Amino acid sequence: MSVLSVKNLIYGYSKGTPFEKGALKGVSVDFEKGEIVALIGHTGSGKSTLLQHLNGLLKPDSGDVLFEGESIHKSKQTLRNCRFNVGLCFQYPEQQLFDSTVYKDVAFGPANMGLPAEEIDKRVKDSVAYVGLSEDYLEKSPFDLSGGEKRRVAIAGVLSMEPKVLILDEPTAGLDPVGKNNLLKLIKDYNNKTGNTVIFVSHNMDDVALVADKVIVMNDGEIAMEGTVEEVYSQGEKLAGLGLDVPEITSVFIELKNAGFDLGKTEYTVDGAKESIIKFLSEGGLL
Amino acid sequence: MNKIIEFKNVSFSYSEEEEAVLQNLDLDFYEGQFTCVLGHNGSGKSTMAKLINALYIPTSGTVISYGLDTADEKNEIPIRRNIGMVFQNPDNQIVATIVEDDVAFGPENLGLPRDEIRKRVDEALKAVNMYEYRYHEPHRLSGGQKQRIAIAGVIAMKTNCIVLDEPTAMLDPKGRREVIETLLKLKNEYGISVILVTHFMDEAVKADRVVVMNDGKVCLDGTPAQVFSNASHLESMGLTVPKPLELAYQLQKNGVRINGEPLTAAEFVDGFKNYVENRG
Ligand SMILES: Nc1ncnc2c1ncn2[C@@H]1O[C@H](COP(=O)(O)OP(=O)(O)OP(=O)(O)O)[C@@H](O)[C@H]1O
Ligand SMILES: Nc1ncnc2c1ncn2[C@@H]1O[C@H](COP(=O)(O)OP(=O)(O)OP(=O)(O)O)[C@@H](O)[C@H]1O
Ligand SMILES: [Mg+2]
Ligand SMILES: [Mg+2]
Repeated sequence: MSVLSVKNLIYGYSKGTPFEKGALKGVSVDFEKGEIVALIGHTGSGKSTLLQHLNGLLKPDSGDVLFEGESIHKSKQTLRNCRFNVGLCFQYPEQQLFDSTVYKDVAFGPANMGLPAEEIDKRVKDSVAYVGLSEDYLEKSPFDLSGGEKRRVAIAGVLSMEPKVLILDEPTAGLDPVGKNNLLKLIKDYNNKTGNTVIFVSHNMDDVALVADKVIVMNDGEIAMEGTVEEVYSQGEKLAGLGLDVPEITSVFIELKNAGFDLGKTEYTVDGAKESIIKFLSEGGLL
Repeated sequence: MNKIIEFKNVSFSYSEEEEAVLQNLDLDFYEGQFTCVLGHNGSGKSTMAKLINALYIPTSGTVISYGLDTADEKNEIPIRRNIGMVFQNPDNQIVATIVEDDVAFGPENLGLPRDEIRKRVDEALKAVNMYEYRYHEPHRLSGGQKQRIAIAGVIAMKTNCIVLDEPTAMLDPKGRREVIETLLKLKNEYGISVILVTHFMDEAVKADRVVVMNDGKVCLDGTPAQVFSNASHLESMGLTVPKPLELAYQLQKNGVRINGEPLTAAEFVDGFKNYVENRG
C-alpha cells in the first residue's frame, strides 16, 4: 500500500472571480514508503499547491488524498493524524516561522504531538544541529536571521516531528553551496535511517539527479512526466519544452558527444561523468 | 573606471548587544560592471546590499553612493533614484494590489511621463514572462511568479545601478537563464551597473568581477577565473566551484589534466580536445 495516494485532484484559486485559476487539473500519483521523490516543473505549474494538499492544508475541489489507505478528510481525527505524520516545510520560511525564539519555533511540532519534555528538548537540539546551526541560534528570534538561516530553522521545525512523510518545498533555495550539499545528504540520511518517505521540490536539476529515486514533472496543473532520473532526464528536448533543463554536467557531456567523443550513455552527476570519461580514455589508450 | 559606490571602513551591528555583522569593510563598486557577490549564509551579503541604498546606515565608517553619503537623510531619495533594489524575499517588495501597478510604482516615483511608464512596464513584464498576469493580484501568485514581478519592477526603473539579492532563487531553469540574460543586456545596452548576490556559481561565471564575503568581510575579489582557482579555500567558506571545473578537478585526481580551469561547458570541451590531441 502506498503511504500517500493522490486521486484525481482538482483545485482552483479565486473561484468565482475573473482570475479563477485551475491550479490542479486532475492529478493522480502514489508515493511509496521509503521513496525519495523530486517534484519539478516550471514556475506556477502547481507544485506548491499539490504539496499543500498532501497534509490537508488545502482541501481539493474534487478528488481525494489517502494517507495509509484512508482519506485524510474523512474526520477531524484522520486530518489530525495526517498533520502529525506528513510534515510540510513551506517554500518561503517566512510563511512558517512564527515564535519568538528558534528553540520555541522548532519545539512547536513535537510539543503539539504531546511528546515528553526531555524528548522535545533532544529533538530540538538534534534537528537544529542537523541543519548546520550552532546552539548559539537557539535563543535568537527566527526573524532576526539571514535568509539561509531562516530556511534552516524552518526545515529543523519539520524534522523535529520525524514525520513518516517529509515534504520540503524548495529546501535548497537560498542555501549556500556547502549548506545545499549537506541538505541533500540530510535528505538521504533521513530516508536511510528512518525508512521514511521524502518528497521535495527543486528547480536544480543537478540536485535532483543526486538524490531522487523518482522524478515527477508538473506542467500547467498536470503531471507531464514521471519516472526514474534516467527515464526523465534522457528526454532533454521534452524537458526544455516544459521550461526545464538537463543538469549542467549533462550539458558538458552532450557537448563532448557533439564534439565527436563517443562516451556511451549520458551522465547526470559529476561522479558519473568522471567514471565515463576515465573509461573512455583508458579504452582509447589515452590515460 | 568610475567608482559608483564606496564602503570606507564600514562596520554594522543590528543591535548594541550583538557583535558587528560587517567588520571594517572596504569595498568599491564600479560603473558599468557586472559584479556578483558570493558568501556563506549569514556572511553579510544582504546587510551589505541594504547599506548601499541607505536602507541601513553604518554603525561606523561611511558608505558613499553616487557621491552621496548614505548617512545623510536628505540623500536617501537621490540615492534611490540611482540605485534600484530587488530584495531576497519578494513579499517584502509588493506595494500594490495589481501586478502592473506594482511594476509601475518605481517608474512613477521617478516622475517619468505616462506613456514612457506604460512602455517600460509592458516591456519589463514581457522580459520576465509575466505580461499575461498584469491584472492579477501580486499576493496571489506562486513563489517564482512573485520573484519575477519584483525583478520586473526594478527593470522598469532602469536606474543607473541595480542591486539584486538572490533574485533567481525560486526560478525554474529557463526563467533563471532569462533573468541573467536580461541583466547582461541592461549592462551591455544601457551601461547599467549590476550587483548580483547569488548562491549559483554558474551565474557568477558570467560576471566581470566576483566578490566573496566571509564572516562580514571581503576575502576574495577578482575575475571569476581568479576567484574559482582555489577550490579548497572556497569550500572552507561554504562555497563550491562551477560544475565543469569540479569535473576537471575530479579528473585531475585520476591523472587527467584538463588545462585552463574550465568554468563553462564550452571551455571544458576545448580543454578536453586539447588533452586528447596531446595524448593521441
Ligand atoms: N493564493 C493564490 N491565489 C490565486 N492563485 C494562486 C495562488 N497561489 C498560486 N496561485 C496560482 O496557481 C498556480 C500554481 O501555483 P503554485 O504556487 O502551486 O505553483 P508552483 O509550481 O509552486 O510555482 P513556483 O515554482 O513559482 O513556486 C499559479 O498559476 C499561480 O499563479
Ligand atoms: N534583522 C536582523 N537582526 C539581527 N541580526 C540579523 C538580522 N538580519 C540578519 N542578521 C544577522 O546578520 C548576519 C548577516 O546576515 P545577512 O542577512 O546579511 O547574511 P547573508 O549573507 O545575506 O546570508 P544569506 O545567504 O543566508 O541570505 C547573520 O549572522 C544574521 O544572523
Ligand atoms: Mg511553489
Ligand atoms: Mg541574504
